[in-house]
Amino acid sequence: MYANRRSKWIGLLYLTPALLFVLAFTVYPFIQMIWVSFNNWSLITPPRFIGLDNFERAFGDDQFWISLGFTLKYTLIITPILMIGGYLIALLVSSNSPLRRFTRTVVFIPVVIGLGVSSLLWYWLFSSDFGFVNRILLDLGLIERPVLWLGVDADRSNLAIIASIVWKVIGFGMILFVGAIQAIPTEITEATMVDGASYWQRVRRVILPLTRRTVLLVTLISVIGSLLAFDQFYIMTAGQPHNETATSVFYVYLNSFPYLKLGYGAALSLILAAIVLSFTVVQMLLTRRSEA
Amino acid sequence: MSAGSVLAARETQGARGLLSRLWAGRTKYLVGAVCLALCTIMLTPLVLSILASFKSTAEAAALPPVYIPSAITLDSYERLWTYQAGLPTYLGNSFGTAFMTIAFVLLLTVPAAYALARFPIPGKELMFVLLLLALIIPYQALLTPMFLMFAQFKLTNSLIGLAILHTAIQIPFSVYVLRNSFAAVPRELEEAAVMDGANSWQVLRRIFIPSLVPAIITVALFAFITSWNEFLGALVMMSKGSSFTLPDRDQPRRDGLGDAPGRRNHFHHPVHRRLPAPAEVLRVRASQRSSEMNERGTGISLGVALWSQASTWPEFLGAARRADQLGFDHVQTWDHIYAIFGDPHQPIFEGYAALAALAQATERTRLGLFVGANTFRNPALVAKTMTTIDHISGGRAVLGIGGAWFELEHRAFGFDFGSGFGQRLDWLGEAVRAIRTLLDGGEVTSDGTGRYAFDHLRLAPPPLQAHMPMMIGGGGERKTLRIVARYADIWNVFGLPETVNHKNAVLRAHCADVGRDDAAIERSVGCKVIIRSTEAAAQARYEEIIRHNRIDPERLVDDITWWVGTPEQIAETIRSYRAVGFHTFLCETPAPYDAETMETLINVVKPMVEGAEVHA
Repeated sequence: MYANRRSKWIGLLYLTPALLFVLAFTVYPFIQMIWVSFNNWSLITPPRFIGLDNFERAFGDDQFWISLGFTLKYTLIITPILMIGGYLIALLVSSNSPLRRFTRTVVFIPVVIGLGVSSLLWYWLFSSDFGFVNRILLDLGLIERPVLWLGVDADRSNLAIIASIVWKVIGFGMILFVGAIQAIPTEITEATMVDGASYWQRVRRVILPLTRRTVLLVTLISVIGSLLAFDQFYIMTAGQPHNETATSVFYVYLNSFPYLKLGYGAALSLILAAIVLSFTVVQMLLTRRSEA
Repeated sequence: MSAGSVLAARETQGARGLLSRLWAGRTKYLVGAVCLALCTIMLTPLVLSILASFKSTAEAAALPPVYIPSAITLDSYERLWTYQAGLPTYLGNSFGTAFMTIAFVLLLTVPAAYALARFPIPGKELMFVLLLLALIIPYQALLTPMFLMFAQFKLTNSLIGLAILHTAIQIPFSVYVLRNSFAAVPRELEEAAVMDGANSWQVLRRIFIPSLVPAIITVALFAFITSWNEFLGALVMMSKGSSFTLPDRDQPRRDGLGDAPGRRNHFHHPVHRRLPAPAEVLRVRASQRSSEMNERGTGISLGVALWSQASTWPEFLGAARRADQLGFDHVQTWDHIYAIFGDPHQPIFEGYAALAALAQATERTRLGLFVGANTFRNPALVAKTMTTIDHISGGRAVLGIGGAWFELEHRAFGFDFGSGFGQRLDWLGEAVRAIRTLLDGGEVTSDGTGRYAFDHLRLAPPPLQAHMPMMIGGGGERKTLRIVARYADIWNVFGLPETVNHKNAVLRAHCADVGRDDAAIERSVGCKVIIRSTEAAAQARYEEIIRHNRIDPERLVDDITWWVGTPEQIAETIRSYRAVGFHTFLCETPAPYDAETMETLINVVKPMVEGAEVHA
């Protein structure tokens, strides 16, 4: 209806502020990052162009691979827990009895709490002396003496952090799954009931396929979130022991800010962004296929 | 999108009757039990933390922790209210940033979404993708260039800068949600308005915005949550140092602590100023670029030497465990049997027994005495004891030893104090030679001219470590450093950088003389570190410690081994020692042991120091 030349310019006028903002604060930094990644730059001396050296160095940088490996390990462990756990809880609470509605609310509470705050909370809970995790495990007779959860052993730290993050974010997937499950038209479920399908058959044949889009979306959000994990590790282990629990973003942060190896940090960022992008592309392809 | 599907879901709750019928019957109880278990698990951490927040300080630090507070106090809330810059300041910062973010997001994305949904703009799809770009590039990756840009425009350490960052993070989600919402508004409404002569701005204000209230609230809410919770960006953009506006060192003090007679400057070298962390790092880089940096590079080792006086065992043990957990390279304690600071008759624990217990209670830190008093025990017994501790600890023992100096404890216990420093150092030389041989699996027989009378003495088992390091403390140039040059693996000394630099030169000369590679000796500086985010808070903590240990403050006026200040100041002091070749810092830690200092040392100061010179 505004299909005339004037309305084109008016529309552009509405769009311009947002476009300028994104150009200034997303596109420009991105381009600058690409440029910085080809340089050796520590802010003191002018940047020195070194071509692909930073990328070459990244491939030979053990700590980068350790960080990346650790991040992948963390992602591989936590994603199935979040997806399967979140989905099972969603199945459990998707109908609307008061108890289920209450459970839904309770499971969702930690999602609203900031990641920094919840990490501090769990840092305290996992403290070997003052923490309640050890106290409860001791009281239940599951351990004999306090366990040093954080910062001593990489796997144990990882386990503790995964537990805290599952607590923190499982409600996010759950709430989206509940939404998707509730959106399934009643007729379909009723039809399967008439056919005499058991509950788990129904889950497998009807509910799961019909919520597939949401499952893929939540998987993607969760995988990206895990690949970019930082807060919880920074707060709970600070990368200890010996940077074995430093995630990729943590390592980028270390290089870029405390170490001021800006070019190298930018190169690592780009590699990381490429990895995240590849996950996004795979997810998009999967979604498209599931729609076809 | 997430909010959208939740909203959509709420509208279609038709399935509910059916699903509840499905679960009817026996499964009902099972479902109820699972729900309750789930709620318990999810709520426990929150309930425990809420309960703990009402505990008194003593009860909150109780070992083992208690579930239910015995009495309710609001102390923690009071302290939180005034902690550092004070809770109101931090809340104000967070709210300010969050509301600015909401404003920016709405002002930018509502018109943009309107344009995308309703105007025939060429290349519209491309622009839409451009707006969603931040969704594809993780914003964490963009922080470096953003930081550089913000630094140029003085937007670091400003709430507006942070709000801009949060807006950039939030734009894709907002554009996406709002564009869909605009598209969902029936065209008839706006057509009618246009017929009545309304222009596009009036249509937006009168027609769209009222009917988009739910979507706008969703967008605002998510913007708020993002901004309120965002951590990494705030960490990078807002450097701690400058979020406090404490007066510069050169300005008159208003805190009542400064310039009192007898107050000494904890930092002699060099002059300190408050600067935001990255800028601080830069400045030091600039000043140190051309100079020194020995072959060890920028890495430093950190240790804590826990004072064994004026403490209780649980506190001592807790501090040692904490240090171990944090990743300190060394945990040490004194070998004194009378308190050496303040009242000598205060409680104090014996060193080797404490070490043996720590060997069992810690997992990875090295353990040793800071430093053992040679006069107290037969040195072969010391070698035997440390070998045992090496086995208990799984090969983490360091044998620390020195000539001893505190006459009072010798007199009280009836130990031979010798005729003076000279004689005690002769004893030390003989002792250290024997200890080295014994630790390396050799046999010792004394020649009868010295103090000790070993007779075909061997140790079995040998230590777990093939070479148990020996740490020798002291700066005596003629005798001690001679012994250090021959036998020490770690050498600890106290003093100003220029002093220890001189001692180091003397040590090098001794090494050359006895034919030992001086690079094999790890240089360590003893210090007493107190770190707080402001100088005043650190000073207050210092005074607290002095009182607790019953020390006359006047006696410490010239003691330059107390490093009391902010992380930036401590980092700079450490750099000034590293610059003269000292890479190990053994931080004496008095009771009441200071977890904040230990944590800041490892997590803030160490990266700060180690990052300063890498890659130059």
